[in-house]
Amino acid sequence: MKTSNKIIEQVDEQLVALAQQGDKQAYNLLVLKYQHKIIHLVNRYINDASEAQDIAQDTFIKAYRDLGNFRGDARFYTWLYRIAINTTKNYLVSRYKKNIADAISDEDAEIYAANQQWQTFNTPEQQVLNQEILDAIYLAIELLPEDMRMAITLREFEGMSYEEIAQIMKCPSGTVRSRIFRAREAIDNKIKPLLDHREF
Amino acid sequence: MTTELKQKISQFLDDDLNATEASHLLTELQHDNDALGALHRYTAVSQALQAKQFTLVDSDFASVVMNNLAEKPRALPVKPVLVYRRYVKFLALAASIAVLAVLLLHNFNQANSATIGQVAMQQDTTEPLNKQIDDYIHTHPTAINLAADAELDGGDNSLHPSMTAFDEEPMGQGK
Repeated sequence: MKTSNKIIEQVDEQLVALAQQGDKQAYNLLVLKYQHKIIHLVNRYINDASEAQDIAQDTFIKAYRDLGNFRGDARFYTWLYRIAINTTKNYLVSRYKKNIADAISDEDAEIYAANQQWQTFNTPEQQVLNQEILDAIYLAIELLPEDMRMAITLREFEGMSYEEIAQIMKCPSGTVRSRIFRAREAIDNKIKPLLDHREF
Repeated sequence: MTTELKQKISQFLDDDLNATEASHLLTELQHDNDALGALHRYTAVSQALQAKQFTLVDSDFASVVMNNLAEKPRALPVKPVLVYRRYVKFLALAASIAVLAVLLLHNFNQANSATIGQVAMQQDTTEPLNKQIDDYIHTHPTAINLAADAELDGGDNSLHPSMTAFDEEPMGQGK
């Protein structure tokens, strides 16, 4: 896992360095890469999907404007994560004018994020639709050939790099790259019709 | 949208592209809405699998962020100046301490060598001189007016001959 994290750091560092020099394309890539994680994080505390996205966008805007102060002491995502938590806290304080934000400590947020079990605040209809898509994803994975299922599982659930998966599966990393891509394509073919109905 | 482009998207999500390759990918994504949609769906699936929960994200999420940032031409620059200043401050402080230490050491050495020199000179000159005086007194007991001194001081004058001779009378003139 260390190898994988090191690669992530290197790519992110390069993108951050470019963004710090004013390369907005590089920052756009970082937004595309982490938007789902940040929205998911904010969505744990905000009882409205639309507001959660606004706060997540505000997080990325704040992060960009403060990018000059990012010194690389921590990973970019860790730094972004803290900005997201603080932005959410500030929103809750201004919105409800009470100390509800105190209930969210960084430590708690880390634990919740690690467990990934917190209930997202969505309307019942949204929750049903989201669950429907999640079920479709799991079903698509079950229907995958064994080698593709194993590759995508090790990548998504275990966070392993291509090289690590290649060692486990005893095949070249190029084969792993291909298997993961084909697995994603198969899943995408299943969920795309569902998402198209939701203007995704 | 080509299969190759979609594979690049998949690699990007897995951090298998370097920054240059990722930048090229982004250029292509900007002209291909289908590819951008694929990126959104791939990231959504990836996040859903990791979080065991699907969260819907607007497809224009990133473009809204980037449009907001368009008002600001660029990110705040990295502050190499501050880092530089911090080092300059540190170096200036270190240099000041070093100079101060050198000066103090220099003064201390000068003071020591002067004192030692003076003592050495005194030792070099006084001891033989005293010896000469004592010798002179012993060999010329009447050369100094002990009686006159005794009258002036009214006390014991056993030490006065050498003192008088040292302070007032150049050597050799008493003869």
